[in-house]
Amino acid sequence: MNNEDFINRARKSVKERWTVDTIIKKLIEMLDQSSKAENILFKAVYDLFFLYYPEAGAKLEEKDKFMEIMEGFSNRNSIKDNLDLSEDSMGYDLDKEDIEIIKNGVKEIMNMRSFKESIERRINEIIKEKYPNTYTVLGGVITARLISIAGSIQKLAIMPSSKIQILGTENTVFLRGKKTPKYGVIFKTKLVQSVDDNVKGKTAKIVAGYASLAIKTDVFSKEDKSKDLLRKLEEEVKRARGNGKSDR
Amino acid sequence: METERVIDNTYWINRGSRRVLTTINMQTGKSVYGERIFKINGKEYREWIPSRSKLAATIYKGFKPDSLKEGISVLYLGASTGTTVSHVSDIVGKNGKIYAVEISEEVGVKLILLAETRKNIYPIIYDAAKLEDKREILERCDFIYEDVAQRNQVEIFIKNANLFLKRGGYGAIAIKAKSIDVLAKPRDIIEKARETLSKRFSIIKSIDLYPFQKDHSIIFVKN
Ligand SMILES: C[S@@+](CC[C@H](N)C(=O)[O-])C[C@H]1O[C@@H](n2cnc3c(N)ncnc32)[C@H](O)[C@@H]1O
Repeated sequence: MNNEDFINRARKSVKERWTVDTIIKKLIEMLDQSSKAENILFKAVYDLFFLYYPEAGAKLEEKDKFMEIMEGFSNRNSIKDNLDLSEDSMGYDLDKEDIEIIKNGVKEIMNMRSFKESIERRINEIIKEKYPNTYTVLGGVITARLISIAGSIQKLAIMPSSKIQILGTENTVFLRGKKTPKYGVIFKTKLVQSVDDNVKGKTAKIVAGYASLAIKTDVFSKEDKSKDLLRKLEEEVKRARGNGKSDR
Repeated sequence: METERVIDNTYWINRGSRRVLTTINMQTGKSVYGERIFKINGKEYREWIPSRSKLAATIYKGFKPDSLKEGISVLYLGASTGTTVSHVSDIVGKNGKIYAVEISEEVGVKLILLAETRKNIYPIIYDAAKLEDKREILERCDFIYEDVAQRNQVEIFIKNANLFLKRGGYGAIAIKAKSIDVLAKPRDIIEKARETLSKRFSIIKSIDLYPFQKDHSIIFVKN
């Protein structure tokens, strides 16, 4: 066989081996990079705005608040009432061209946000279709993150739930004897976030257990047992919550 | 600029006080991964960067891998996008062959595109631990190079040497100390790999690639 035959075979095996997990990983990466881009842009737009109207800037350090107020921004006068400020400012009186740049910057951040939402929607759609059980337990984005960290859903399916529970912790090098960290990706699920701090660790463990079960179901039997899983999961979390309360 | 031969098609270029490792560019005018190209007396030399390639680091550390020669056949395990493969391609030249094995389709795409422009690269997108499945299309080679960064990298190397290395052939394996065991000391891991390899091959040399590559060594053997 010559070089061309090898190339043809190799091209064919690449073509056949793509899986939906590859797209999932790229989408998660795009989501994270977009968040970074959004933050960088926000910082720069905010800084220019602060120069112009520091009294307002001091009240708008939080990004969501800034974006909310800046939707209707055209000059100091346009937002002063919303913030209980006077138009009198020690800030630099920017030219209207500079103010235009602030406004365009705000628009770009809004675009970035709706772009991110569209990525998230697509991730949820894919996960819901391909991995319905896991979707029900973890939601689309968290499932996608786990796939991205592990490499594939198959790798997750053979992982013990104790490992799934800690995937995504800053440093995945676990040293013998050291207490394992509890704050992985699983910790960010709605269910874990919704319980009191004293039962978060326990809840994360329960969620990881069900996640592991759901992943195995999605990979091996491919049945949709999501209703059953969700019911049992919620029951168990409820019980953990109850116990947690009586502990205090 | 003066040149000084290292092994076939591989030269140091002396640029003032610094020297730069290069291979003669088989594919004139084209840089593969952003490396610089030097033109001297009508010949093109492609920079071979030690932080990007363990084989280049080996040469920077003073070892001449002269069992890599023009015209030989090489089985390359863990080819990735083909950074190092492209230089081995320059070394073995148009009469040589490199069977370049890579498991990941994502990086494999780039490797295939490289093979489309360099006729001596034969890409195989497959698990290096299961190459017995590819016996019909492979042959015994003069040299086996492995850089897979896997826990069982030494076993994979030995298995493939048994299957595909000519008697009297040579091999080199890049050992990433951390892939085998994150807890053990890198030096112990290298020592253990050396010991396992020495039961099967004669060891030519083992080279610590620091500071070009951290926690990496390369071990050269003869079959
Ligand atoms: C450190 S990189 C190789 C870099 C490359 N040798 C170079 O210098 O340009 C390791 C590569 O080995 C591949 N790999 C890991 N396990 C493998 C296996 N079992 N079979 C084939 N390739 C494998 C990985 O996908 C990765 O691309």
